Amino acid sequence: MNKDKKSKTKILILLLILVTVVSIVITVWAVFFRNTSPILAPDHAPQTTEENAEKMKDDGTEKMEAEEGGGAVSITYANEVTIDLKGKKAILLFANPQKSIQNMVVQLVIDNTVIVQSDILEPGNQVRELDLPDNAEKQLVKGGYDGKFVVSFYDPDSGEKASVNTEIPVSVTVS
Amino acid sequence: MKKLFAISTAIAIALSVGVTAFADSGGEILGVSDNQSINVIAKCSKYIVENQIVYSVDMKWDDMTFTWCEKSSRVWNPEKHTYSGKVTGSWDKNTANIQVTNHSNAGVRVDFVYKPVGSTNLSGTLSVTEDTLTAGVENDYEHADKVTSRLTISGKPNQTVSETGTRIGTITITVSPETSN
Repeated sequence: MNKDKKSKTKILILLLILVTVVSIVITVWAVFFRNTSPILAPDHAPQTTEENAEKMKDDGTEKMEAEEGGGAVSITYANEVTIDLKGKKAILLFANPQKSIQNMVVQLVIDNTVIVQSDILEPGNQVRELDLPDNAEKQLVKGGYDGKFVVSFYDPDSGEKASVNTEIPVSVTVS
Repeated sequence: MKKLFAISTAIAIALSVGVTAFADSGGEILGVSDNQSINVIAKCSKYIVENQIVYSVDMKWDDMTFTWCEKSSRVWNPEKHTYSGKVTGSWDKNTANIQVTNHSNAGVRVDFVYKPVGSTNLSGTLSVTEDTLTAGVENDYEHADKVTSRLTISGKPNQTVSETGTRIGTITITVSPETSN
């Protein structure tokens, strides 16, 4: 009887040690070795247009020309972004002028992490602010960061993503 | 006696103090009913506020679909009743251009990078990988500085490339201020 009890206790202790070791291993892996891959820009355009998009003044510029199957875009932007953690907004200037023939999606990326991503920005529209996702305040603290815009282009008819994309270095101030 | 002496001394001091009067060399002494013009002068001080930089670039690219065409020919050998075959393949086109034009009021640096996707046995090279474009000139939109890079595809596609089309690579254009490295 005593022997049984002792053996059961031993098994229990071994089990607890094993669980503890496994927990430590998982924690170490998660903290130091987990590969945080960036969220990829969608291969097909989002279904919705950006709700913060503002219509640009129509200056009567003609559409750019491109060969069939090709693409042509114009981008106007400021290379400084402010992130307002309390207001949960990214303040920026990014425009897809009317003369472009492709839709755009813009991501703000810091250290290979997508902080905020727009919905579809059609030609003739611009954004001055984007809504931050719910967990944004956990990813950033107050201060300055080097970030970039990653801009993807989509066919307005098929929604297919173009083989060309653009990256634009920006200075990000978090307040 | 003392009083007399004090009074006479006071009178003497008062009389010896001069009154300094300034007179305008060209001025007139106006009476109550005369008018004098006073010039009111305004000045305009101009200073130039440094223009805010507005970044604006145009990008154009050719069709990025490249088709590999295979032709097989068979020759009948009547003596052996066999076909001898020959397969040849070629691209319908193997180049495509990407052009960037700078309409900003500041210079920009443009970098082109081709990144292959998957294991397709194909490679792509760009004729221009970096360039610096000067700022737009006031009232000269047509001659904005531009750069064109030509993508060239080479190799024979393997079985991973389908007839319907397989993405084999992406081109990333990085646009940064001219002063950054």
